[in-house]
Amino acid sequence: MIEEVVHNEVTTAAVIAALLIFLASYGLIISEKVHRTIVSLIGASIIIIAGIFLQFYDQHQAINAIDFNTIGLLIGMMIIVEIVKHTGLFQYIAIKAAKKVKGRPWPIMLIFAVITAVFSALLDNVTTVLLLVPITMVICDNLHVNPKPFLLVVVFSSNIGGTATLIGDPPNILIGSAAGLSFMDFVKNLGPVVVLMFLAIIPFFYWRYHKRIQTDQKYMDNIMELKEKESIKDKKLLKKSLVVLGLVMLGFIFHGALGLEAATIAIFGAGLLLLLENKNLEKALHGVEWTTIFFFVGLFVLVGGLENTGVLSWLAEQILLFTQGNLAVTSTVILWGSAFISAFVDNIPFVATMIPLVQDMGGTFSNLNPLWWSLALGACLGGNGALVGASANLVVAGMSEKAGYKITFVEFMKTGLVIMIITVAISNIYLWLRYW
Amino acid sequence: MQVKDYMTTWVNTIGPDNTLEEAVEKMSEKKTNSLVVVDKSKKPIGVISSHLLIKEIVPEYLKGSEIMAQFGVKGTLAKYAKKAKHHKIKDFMYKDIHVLDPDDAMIEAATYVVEGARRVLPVVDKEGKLIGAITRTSVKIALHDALSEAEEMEKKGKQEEI
Repeated sequence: MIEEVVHNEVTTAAVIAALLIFLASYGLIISEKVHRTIVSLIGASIIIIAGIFLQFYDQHQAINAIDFNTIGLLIGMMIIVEIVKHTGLFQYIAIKAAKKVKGRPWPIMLIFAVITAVFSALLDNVTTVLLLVPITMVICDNLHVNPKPFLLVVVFSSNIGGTATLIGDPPNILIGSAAGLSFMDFVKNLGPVVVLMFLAIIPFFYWRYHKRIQTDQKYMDNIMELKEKESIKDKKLLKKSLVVLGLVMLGFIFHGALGLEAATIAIFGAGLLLLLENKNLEKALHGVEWTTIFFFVGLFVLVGGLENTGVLSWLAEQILLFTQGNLAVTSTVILWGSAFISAFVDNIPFVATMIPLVQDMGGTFSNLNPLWWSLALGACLGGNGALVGASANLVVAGMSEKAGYKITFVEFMKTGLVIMIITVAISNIYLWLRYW
Repeated sequence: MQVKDYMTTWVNTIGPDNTLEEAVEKMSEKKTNSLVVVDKSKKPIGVISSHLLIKEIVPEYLKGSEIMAQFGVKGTLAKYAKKAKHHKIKDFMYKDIHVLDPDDAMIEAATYVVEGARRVLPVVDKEGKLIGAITRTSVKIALHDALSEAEEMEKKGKQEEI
């Protein structure tokens, strides 16, 4: 039974105005003519002004639309990562791993894929690739092989690994916060399928790339001569960081059970690390990407305005009419739809818009969780579908091009789209077996 | 203390369409760390410093990750120097320059010469053509003069007291 949503007080003019503001903002974000943060802030203020005059939205509601849990979690993690990345810990692990496999190219590629996926699950994807790209490039310089296959494997693995946890990819942060799903909920529900699809994709990497990364024994010996200990610049800071990281991870594991928001854990970790390392407050706060934070703030206000007009409820009803209120069909539509849309548009605004829409389906389905997992899997894995599908892809392509190795749109898609389809298909089977 | 008292009239210049390689050549030959970029009518349109040249050569992936630079393999600098050698001056020169008038006070020169990448401040005539330049060395000489002047004043003052 589809719940009747009545919006008597909202006029047609209000709906049209809100839709126009929303679609114009979306269009501008996609066109990349204006920075997405500027678009979201302008769009947010215009929708408030329109909302006040057409009586569908006010300033108080706009403030309430901002999800401060998401904002807090992002800021907390950004501060922690900014401090930890200067310890050299990540570089140490990567070089150590490369030496463990005796500098042989394919095993290095494989182990880097695993490292990237694990880091990505615990850090934001862009941060992960920013850490891994320099390491990968230097390893490839030492091996005298073309770095492009390695870089592609890194970015594909990052998009897959990020899907597994609450903090791995911004769409998950948004979903977790809105749906009240904890870190462990994500690990238990998405972890198994992510491990599975990652294992399934490894033979594909081998088949696609192992011939392109052959090298001489003397270059493999180069790797063995790297002294990974030299990457650790500050042992004291490293120890403090490891303690705080450990506490934060424990906090994430138990935050659901303790009734604490993930943001509280992240901000506590950031505060503690700043307290222990009280030299570089200014520098640590530079690690906060304010453009991203303000983008989220504007986006929440913008989507909140649209939501208030009832358009999203109407859209949810239409989807349910189409799927006849069947959980399996609805979930499949959300999974594949999210994947293909996220391959070409920024998955953050897409998920922010989908959240109220999925919440509106609460009247039809007693348990919305399968739909949340479909949305998370689709939106995160869709990032592999095209070069523009995720910020991490663009960061890698940008750095690679500046080093003289251009990754083209088509080149990325040839492998990326296949990976997206394989991983989403595996997700589809998993959802079917586990939830329908 | 005016710009005209301290400016050097031997200014090393380069054109906007010259290459990074030519700039490196010229800087090494003239033993200088900065060049003024002038257009065909001798008007200054930018400056180049050794700092900018190096920045243009070091690859992007190492700039954000100094830790990894120590694991760099031999020949990496040469590889990227080769890649960058044809880069045009106008594409990476510092464009936000500050030009001086010979009659300007040295405090203006001193303030601007330490800001950002402005290592050298072109001095221009009424038509805007380059006639000299103030470098950090020029300001240092002015500083020396200023300090010895102050010392002399002090001595004089003491003598008068006696």
